[in-house]
Amino acid sequence: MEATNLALVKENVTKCMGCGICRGVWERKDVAMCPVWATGVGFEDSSPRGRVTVAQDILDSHISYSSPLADSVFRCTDCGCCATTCDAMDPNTLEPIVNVPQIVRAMRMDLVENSLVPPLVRDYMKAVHINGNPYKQPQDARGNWAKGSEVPLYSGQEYLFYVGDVGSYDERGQKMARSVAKLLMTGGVSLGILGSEEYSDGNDTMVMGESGLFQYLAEANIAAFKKHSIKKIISLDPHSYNAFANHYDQWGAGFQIQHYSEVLAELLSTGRLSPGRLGIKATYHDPCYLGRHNEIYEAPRKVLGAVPGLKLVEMPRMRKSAFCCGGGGGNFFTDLIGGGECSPNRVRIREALDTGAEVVAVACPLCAKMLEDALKAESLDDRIAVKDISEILLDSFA
Amino acid sequence: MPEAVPQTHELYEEIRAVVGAEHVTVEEFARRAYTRAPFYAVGGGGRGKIPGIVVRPGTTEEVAAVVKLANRTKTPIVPKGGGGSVSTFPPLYVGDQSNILVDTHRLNRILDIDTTYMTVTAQSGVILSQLAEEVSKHGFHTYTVDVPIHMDTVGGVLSGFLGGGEPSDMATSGTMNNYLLGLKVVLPTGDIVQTGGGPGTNIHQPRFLHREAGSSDMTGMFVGDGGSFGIKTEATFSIHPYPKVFMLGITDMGSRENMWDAFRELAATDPYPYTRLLGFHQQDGPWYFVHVIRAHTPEEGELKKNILEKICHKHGGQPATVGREILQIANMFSARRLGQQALPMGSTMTYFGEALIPMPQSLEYLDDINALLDETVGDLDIYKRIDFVVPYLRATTITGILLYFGKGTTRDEASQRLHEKALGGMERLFTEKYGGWTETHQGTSLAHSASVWAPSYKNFMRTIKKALDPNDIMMPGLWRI
Repeated sequence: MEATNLALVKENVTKCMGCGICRGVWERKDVAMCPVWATGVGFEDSSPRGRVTVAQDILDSHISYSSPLADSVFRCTDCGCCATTCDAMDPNTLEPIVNVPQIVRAMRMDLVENSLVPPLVRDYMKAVHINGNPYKQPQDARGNWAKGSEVPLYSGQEYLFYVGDVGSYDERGQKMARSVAKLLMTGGVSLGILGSEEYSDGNDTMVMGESGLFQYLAEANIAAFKKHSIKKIISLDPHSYNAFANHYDQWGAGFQIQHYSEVLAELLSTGRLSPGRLGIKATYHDPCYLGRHNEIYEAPRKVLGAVPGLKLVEMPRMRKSAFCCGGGGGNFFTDLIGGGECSPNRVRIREALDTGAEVVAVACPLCAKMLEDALKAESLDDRIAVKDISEILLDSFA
Repeated sequence: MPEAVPQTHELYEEIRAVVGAEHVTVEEFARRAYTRAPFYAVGGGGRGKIPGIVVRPGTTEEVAAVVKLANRTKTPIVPKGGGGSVSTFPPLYVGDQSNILVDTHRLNRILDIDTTYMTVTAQSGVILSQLAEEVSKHGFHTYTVDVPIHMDTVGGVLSGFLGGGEPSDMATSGTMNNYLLGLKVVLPTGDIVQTGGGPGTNIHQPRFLHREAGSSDMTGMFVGDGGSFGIKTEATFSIHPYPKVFMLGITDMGSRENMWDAFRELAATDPYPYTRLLGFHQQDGPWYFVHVIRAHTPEEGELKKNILEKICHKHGGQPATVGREILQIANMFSARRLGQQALPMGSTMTYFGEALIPMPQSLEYLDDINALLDETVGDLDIYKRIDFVVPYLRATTITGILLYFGKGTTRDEASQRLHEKALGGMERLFTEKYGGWTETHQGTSLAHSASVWAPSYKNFMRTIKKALDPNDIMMPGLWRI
């Protein structure tokens, strides 16, 4: 069975020392940081170190790709913890020498090319391919979230507000999209949305190894952006941000991308937004695609810090050590990790609760949904709430 | 072509009935993932025997049920902790293709922290860093191994490395096994035994206070056993108030003679004036000491610092003003980066010859392994080599070379060459010249220790093993007994 994509990252594979630090974080001296390993689902092959060992065995033809192996490979949440903590790191670039997420993506590409993806992954790909979104909703309904609001369609405004799949179709994401849009417009940001002309950003498609579909989606989006001469984009979803900032350039993207938290922070610092007092204690959960993947740690905290009366209490595992909610790498849609007691979102919500905060602030629609699901599973609805930073800001205006 | 590996196991159904289908596997890719030893590249050797089945029990009772099945069918069992074994041979060389690998990952709960009696009881799959963290939340510390703290488990460390290890940041105070009070062990017959002076041994004693108080020191028998006498499922340790004062310093000792004179005097000073001490030397450079002092009060810290500086100064030491590179090297024993920070992109590093050596022979040993290195892999692109000595209690040192390969040598090449050419020489050096007293992890002392045991001692070990494990299922073949 072909392993052509994995062969391209062979050097990456062979540099692994096998020390196992990729499972946890030294500074915190705590339980595993790899959300899959922490969950206890799977065996050593589901830990970053084990994934590298499996990769080497494939390259050495000791084993071949198989369906059970695909289940293991697709459990990775692409949170990037292992790459951040890898011992083999270049001191100048601070880049890990062994990039396990890159190895996993290569294995997933091979699995896709060998038609060995798990059924849930296949269903996701199929839905995106046919419908342009994983919710199997019509493309025409993509902008429905904005109906009844004052959010206009894009017609030459300074910014495109790119909402993404979850913000477009998921009820929780739509709520977040509306609050972000309202705040941006209150702050005087000139923006519009593409509505039915917006396509899935393809980030999770790419991470799941469907590079062809990702290219198709990226090119469709870029064509739409170019058609409307869009030069500046504000993204709702860190997953979209990640795709735009790090992967669209290869197809001539040519636009500037900001996450909405960065724009809100700017509006607050320049006085274009003036929040009211809100006497709450909140903790902040760093989304992986905003934090570890793109190192945006300060902007969301600046937003929270600008609300008078809001006390920010950090969880011990934060910023680059933040614990993944489990929704990355496509698992938000495929749920290959499951929702057991040790599932990442439930572990994370318990950590948030331990801080004594009344609110877990998020800056990602997927994290919001994952943590709200955890609230229900843990029966913590009456003790702690999950809110997007924009929703907290809006609360302060009220 | 790889050897044919069976995809089924005769005990699969019965083990599945014990632990549930999600906690047992016969998938080859999963079984192969357990065969690695750290510090050797995946393609460069250091791979162990592939188990026939992997099981993750969640309780002591489940472990016992699996062991009973193995005992009934005389199937070999290999317990596995964090997979932090850093010696040449992974423990998986024992047994055969029917091996049941017992992964203790799910035995990961800290069961009790008692600040009155100052004890902690943890399951054997608890990672040492987790143990340290949880205990520190109560203002206490426990002795754990140092560098592999993030991957080694309680059970793995107690089974290997001469039963303990270098304590994290507390190196002068003893090894982990000295603070072990009691164990819960599943014997090779599947019986569960509790050792130490506590419940299960002395029915009137609710807590472990001394491990020898309830009977003979049965706990000690299982320390450093390589997992061959049973599978540890719980351990109770004494804990100690956390010393909050932290002081770090670097001293330029100049010559090797100066360093060694000061080293010996420091290690002989009672109480220790340091908490950690590392002597290291880069080719053609001076010898440095990096020290850590931990204390309960600033006054205690200052006193220790004065004693340490006085001894260093007496032997020619001067406070060092060092650059980033030396600081990075100095971090190699206390930082998670294991010295990698000093590497150029694309380089790789490994420890060479790291061993527990009697102090009087330490420098001679260092010369021997440097010569061995020159003879065997000296032609590789070696970017940097750093000799190091660390006191291990009073009379021994951990001595070795930190070896950095430049861009001209891939990790794969380096580890393959080390595995093929250098390790045989190290083996002979260890056993023939230094009596086999080497650092060994996780019961991997097959070649190092057993070969130098006196016949009567070996017989004694064999008798114990036979009594506990009549069917020889637990790590069969370990130590060749």
